[in-house]
Amino acid sequence: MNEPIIECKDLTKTFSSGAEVLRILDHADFMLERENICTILGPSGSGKSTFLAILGSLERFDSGTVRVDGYDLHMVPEKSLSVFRRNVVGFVFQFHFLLNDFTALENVALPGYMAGISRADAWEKATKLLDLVGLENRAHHYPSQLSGGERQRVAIARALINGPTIVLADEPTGNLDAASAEEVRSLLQRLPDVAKTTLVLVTHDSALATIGNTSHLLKGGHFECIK
Amino acid sequence: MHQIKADNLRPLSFLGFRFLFGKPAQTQEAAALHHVRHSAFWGAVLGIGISIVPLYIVLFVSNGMIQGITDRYLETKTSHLQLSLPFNLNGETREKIQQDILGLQDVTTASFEVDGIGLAASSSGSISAQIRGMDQSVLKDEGFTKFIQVDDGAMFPERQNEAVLGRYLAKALGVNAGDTVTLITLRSSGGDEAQMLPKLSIFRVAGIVSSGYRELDANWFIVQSETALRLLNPSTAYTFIGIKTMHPYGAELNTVASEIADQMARAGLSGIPGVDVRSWRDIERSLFASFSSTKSILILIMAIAILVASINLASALTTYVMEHRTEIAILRSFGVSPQQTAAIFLVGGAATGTLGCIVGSAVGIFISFYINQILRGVQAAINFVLKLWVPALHPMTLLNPDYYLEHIPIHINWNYIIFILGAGIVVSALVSLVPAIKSSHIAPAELIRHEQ
Repeated sequence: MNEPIIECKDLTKTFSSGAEVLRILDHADFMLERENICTILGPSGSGKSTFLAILGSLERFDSGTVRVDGYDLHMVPEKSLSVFRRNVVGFVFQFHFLLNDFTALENVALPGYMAGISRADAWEKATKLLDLVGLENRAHHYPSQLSGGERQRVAIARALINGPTIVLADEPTGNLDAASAEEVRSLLQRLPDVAKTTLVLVTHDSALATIGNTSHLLKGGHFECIK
Repeated sequence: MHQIKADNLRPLSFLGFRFLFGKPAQTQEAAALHHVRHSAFWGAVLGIGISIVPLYIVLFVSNGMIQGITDRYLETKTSHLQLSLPFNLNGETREKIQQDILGLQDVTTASFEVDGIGLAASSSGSISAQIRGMDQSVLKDEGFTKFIQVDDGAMFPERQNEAVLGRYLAKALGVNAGDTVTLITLRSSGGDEAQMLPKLSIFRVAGIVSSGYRELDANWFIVQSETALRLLNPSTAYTFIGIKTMHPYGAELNTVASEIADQMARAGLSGIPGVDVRSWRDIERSLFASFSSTKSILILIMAIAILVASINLASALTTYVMEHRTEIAILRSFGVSPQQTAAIFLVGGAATGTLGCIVGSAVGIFISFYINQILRGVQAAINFVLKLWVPALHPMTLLNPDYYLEHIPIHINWNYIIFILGAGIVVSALVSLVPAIKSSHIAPAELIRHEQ
């Protein structure tokens, strides 16, 4: 067995709404090996996106341990989490979250440029990544000039710019038509090979769910391995 | 902690500029989008720019005015240094002192003068006058002749019964060159129980002159120094040698003053009451203090205007941060630290202020530099329009030469420019601190809330 890249033990996350406490993750355990594709399924509100946000250090958790590529997220101080996000994870959200005032090329290059890569290198790397996602001819278009599928492919290219060990994708085809969803699905499936990265995918899309080497069902605050 | 290094400033400034000012759009649609999104910052740039323009104008014009008036005072009235002397000092000693002073390095002229007060009268009425008993050597003083404009007749009285009047004194008395005026002075009757008795002297007006500054022109009654010594009361008159140097505004003036004081000590005159060397800064202290305080108040008012414009920048920046929480959360999601986030908006705010300062400085300096031409142009335009409406109307003057200099001497002072630019940038950065700190508190988790 390969070394696990993600290891969660006794993970608990609650949300308070007035007097009511909602337990999203309840002493959940989860493990994933490197350069795998893992899909996480579950009903709406089951906490899939929250789990992904915890893995990406966007959300804090109440208790338990979460180790991602050697980082113990409970121990990492808030100030160092930026370094973790910059170097370890790449995000792909359901809504593309591209910066509207920047071109596709600039959107992809920015995380690299902000991470300390020189401008020329960041732009060159971004050009290659746009080539990888099939958008080399759309590099100088603004998000408003791209289709939904193209925007999502730009977002995937952006997630890869800093060579993350894990890409976290939250319903990446949720807002796309069937043809665009298929393009994105095909691209995501190739990621572990072309980008040497591990992909954790939260989805409702049954076609997308099939690309995972492993699949987990999140229900009642616990994970159940279904594949 | 993630430190902001100099190398990291480039991506931060790239983001700051692009967030706040956008990129020149290539399509009309994009242009419309950018215009709407970034107009607040161009407005802030304009606000700061507009607020800086009057500061430059006030600063350079008031400095020019003060400089122009100072030059006139120094060259036509006060001199650079004054060595006050006893009224009854004999002419030989006075001549010797004068020659010794002229021998000093840096000294260009030294002229004897006796000043006092009298009442000038003509058939039109009477008015108090400042009697200036001057030495003919003043005509060799280039500073004096440069600023004195002869309206009528001669610049200096050639005879003892002649006087040269200031423009507005002559106007008040209703006299021209060739007319006669009466001067009433007070003289002591002499003896143990001395009485002050009026003495009437009649003078022919040899000339009418102007220094270009009304306050001076309204008082001058210039006669020969020997005449003044004869007419004025020793207890109220003031006798001195007016000394001009090559560097009236430099530290060299104090050196010359010390050298003259030493000469007086060597001549055994230093202990005598009434013998003293003073620079123009001491003599006209109250006048220049009043100029300086007026200028300071004007600058303070202008500085408040800049502060208001800076607050407008802070407000635009805060609004931007609040309206673009998602974009900031996106940056945070791909590893931009809170410090970097704050730096982006700090750099952006400072850049906005800098741009405003540069634009305002350029316009302000341009207007200041051409203020005389601009004023003349505006005046001509107003008079042209007025003449169209009311042909009988007298032409108006924006700056009445009776109270202001007809030509404002403008000297661009780079120290002021550097200070204003520096202060503008620092103030812009300071007011950007609050929105910058606000931006650093935006968490990447806001993206998840946005999705939900």
